[in-house]
Amino acid sequence: MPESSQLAYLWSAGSVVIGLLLQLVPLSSTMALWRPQFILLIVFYWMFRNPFMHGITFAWLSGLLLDIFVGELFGRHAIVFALCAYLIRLIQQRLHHFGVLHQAMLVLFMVLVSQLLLHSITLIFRVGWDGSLSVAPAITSAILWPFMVLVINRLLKTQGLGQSISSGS
Amino acid sequence: MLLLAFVALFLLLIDTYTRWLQPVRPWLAELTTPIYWISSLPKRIGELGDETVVSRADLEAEISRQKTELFILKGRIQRMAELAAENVRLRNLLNATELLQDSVLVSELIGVSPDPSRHTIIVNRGEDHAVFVGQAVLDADGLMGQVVEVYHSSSKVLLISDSSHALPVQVLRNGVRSIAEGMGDHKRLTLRFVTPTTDIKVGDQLVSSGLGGRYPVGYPVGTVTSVDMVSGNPYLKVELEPSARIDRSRYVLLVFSAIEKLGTNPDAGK
Repeated sequence: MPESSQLAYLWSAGSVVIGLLLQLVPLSSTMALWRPQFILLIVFYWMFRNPFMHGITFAWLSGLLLDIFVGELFGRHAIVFALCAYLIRLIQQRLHHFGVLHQAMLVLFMVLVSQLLLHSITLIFRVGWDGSLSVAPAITSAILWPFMVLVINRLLKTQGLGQSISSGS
Repeated sequence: MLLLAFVALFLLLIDTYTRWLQPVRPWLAELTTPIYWISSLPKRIGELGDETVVSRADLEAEISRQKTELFILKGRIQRMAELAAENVRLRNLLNATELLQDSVLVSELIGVSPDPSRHTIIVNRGEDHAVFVGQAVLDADGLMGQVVEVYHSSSKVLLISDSSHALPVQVLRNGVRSIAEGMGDHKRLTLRFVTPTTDIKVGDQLVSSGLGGRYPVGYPVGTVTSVDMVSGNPYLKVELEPSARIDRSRYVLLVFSAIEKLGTNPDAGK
């Protein structure tokens, strides 16, 4: 591995915490519907960047962290993030050839899948729940993706982490 | 992968069907409160900026507006005092029990639920300030919700607009009782099982009825915005707009109901 593993783990943990903060920033109810899935995006970033170090366990831990903060139905985000990570794992060989727009499309569908799974799990476990499924986070996540990749790549380059994921199309 | 999925599934199951995770929650809340506090920083800084950089004219306008408001409120309070005295006198005549004054604790909102379908907020008072589960929460304009989880120095409040929440109310005009339920929308509540013969109109003010023993009596809940007869449905479709500014209030009041205090002090009321 070209980059030192300790440094990479440190940065991935740090970025998940920043994602968590963005996930928690209080927004008005309509704005909150459009909030991208920041943590899932960051998990995807690290999985794309270095699939040998960040895999399903990383996704699962990040999901559990979000569960602790959401504070109900423990394990809900953990299982969904782990499943999404598993799906990404399946097409890992092809990921190297993806340009940033291609990645954004993938992100759109993966966030949509995560929304669907979250929704169904909540329907199963929370009796009498009648929330509606929202597609909005998937759209905003996909729009945000190229910018996020660009920013994190730049940031990590200044911190001495070399290898980065494709940000050209 | 399978192992992790099973662990998550197991967690979900024990969280839903047992109460084993209850002791863990306060401990986790200790962990999450600082992060919630940091996440609300941008908003705080924004507000600080708004408060620090204000033009003199704006300030003067604000002061004169508040002076007028204070004047009007003072005027009303004079009448209130008279009415309260009269009320006590009349109640004495009727041999009814005296109405008790509730006391409140001001609290600040530090976090909102990241899940838009779940209407909960986190406020900065907890066990240390004698907050208890089931305590009613108000803002300046009306009833807002109830405390559902208490941690050391913060607590979680379920808002009346959450789709799992219902509270007993009555129409201020004629005392008709009903149940107001949340719909997962900050701007709307609904009344269930209102028969078509019920005397309820658009514009009616609804207050908490105190039945059910959870909320104190007489706090404003909302105003009726629509009463519709849906054909084929035996009940009216009644919607109300909450009086409290549920998604905007930054400061909330935790009510220590006088009845709760009576409950803890057996000598009171004799």
